[in-house]
Amino acid sequence: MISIALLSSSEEKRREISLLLGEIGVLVYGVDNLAGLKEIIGSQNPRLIMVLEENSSFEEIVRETISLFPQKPVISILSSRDAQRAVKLMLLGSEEVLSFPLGKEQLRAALNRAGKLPVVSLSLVPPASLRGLYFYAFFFTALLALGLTGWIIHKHAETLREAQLSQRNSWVLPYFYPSALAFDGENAWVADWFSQSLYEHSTGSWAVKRVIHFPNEMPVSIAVTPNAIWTVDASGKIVRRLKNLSLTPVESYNQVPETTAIAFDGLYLWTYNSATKRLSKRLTDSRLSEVASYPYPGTQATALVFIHNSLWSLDGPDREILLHDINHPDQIISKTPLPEYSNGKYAPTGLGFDGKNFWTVAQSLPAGSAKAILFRHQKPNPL
Amino acid sequence: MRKTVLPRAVPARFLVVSDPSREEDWGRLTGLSSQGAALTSLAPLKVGSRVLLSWEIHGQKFEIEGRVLTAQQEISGYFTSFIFFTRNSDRRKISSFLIDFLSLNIEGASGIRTRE
Repeated sequence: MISIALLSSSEEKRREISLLLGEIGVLVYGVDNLAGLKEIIGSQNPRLIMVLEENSSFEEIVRETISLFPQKPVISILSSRDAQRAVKLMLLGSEEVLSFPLGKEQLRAALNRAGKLPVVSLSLVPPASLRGLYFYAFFFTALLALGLTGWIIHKHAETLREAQLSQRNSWVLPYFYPSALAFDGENAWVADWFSQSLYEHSTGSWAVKRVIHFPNEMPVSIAVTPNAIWTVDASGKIVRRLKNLSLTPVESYNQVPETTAIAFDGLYLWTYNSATKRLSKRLTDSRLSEVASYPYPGTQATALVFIHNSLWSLDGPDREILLHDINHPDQIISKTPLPEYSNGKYAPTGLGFDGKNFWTVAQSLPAGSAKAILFRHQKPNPL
Repeated sequence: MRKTVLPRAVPARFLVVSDPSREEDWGRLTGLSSQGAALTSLAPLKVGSRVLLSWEIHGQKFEIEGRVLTAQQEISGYFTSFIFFTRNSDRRKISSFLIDFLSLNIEGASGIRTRE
């Protein structure tokens, strides 16, 4: 059972919060001053300290509590909502700030995270000239290494790898914030929004074959066709690109804002608008003219995939793959749950089909706490 | 990928501009790039909503407008949202700050560290 120290001079408030915390299985040691708090910390060693606001010197009491017990997480509770003061208290060192009226879910979440405050990741993509240098250095080093060692171990490694791959169903990828996944028959493509890059992977080992960086775009969805790659930027801008070494942009479309997922069926481009939660079927003309539009039948489409004549979507919040009725895409033919996500450690962000299996790419929760992961799923029925 | 991290997530305030009935809320930034930020909070955000995000890092204050790209509830109960910065001027401002900040803070200084 988790135990906490609760600092408040009001017996009534201590009782009120103790009751709430008791309901979620927390043992509360109530104290009415700092001397009492010192005694409780020394004798009972509670996991964290909660400090309630009661008078104008609240910030001072919080500051003193943090300086007296720097090893204990401190949660401050304001008597009323005030974002400015909440941030000020966090800057003073409070791990979390809550405010009245308190809810059980709020308390439970704050207690869950106490002592496990996440870090903040800062990222800056290197300038274009250095990117080119890094890319070629990496490319030639990889070529040299492959030339020296690849041929000798090729046959043995291939046999071994095939045996291993047939048993594996998940792979860790070398970046943190994947946003989309697509297959082109030979290779797989994964977009990472944080590094603003598209990674081309070999589907055998999932090694990175090349990285294409988009200096002015944050890719959130991709669709691969035999001759082109379509990307969607976080602003909703859709770009059609040549499938060459640098993925040269051919045409940009700004007419479809709020687009967060796309798929190409061979003739039409399908888009999903996250704000209106609608699927649209579009011509690939200069305005991406809408031919038809349908309400999305799930919670939120994270990715769209076309397989022959069938439209599939990844419902990210519900962790399900949906098969749509192609004549009535607002109706679902089948739902396939993804048990790989049941532990809540990852959130699926991209869906792809390699001709045999569905694959999803996912980012860790809390975001950035672990590298991206790729799951191979059983083929849903009916295909 | 090499990442630079600050040891404590940065406190931030956010106002949902697209929902005037909602009061200003707070959370912490767990990721920041020139294009967007990752925010963790007890209050949920809806995908597509427009927010005004304010925070301070090492004495420099920011007030940036963005759009919620994804929002997920973690197993702890907290919500993690990714906010895309919608104004070019804001992206330039953050980019310039990151260049200065990351180039001035060598590994080990100011509690900053890098990790693979």
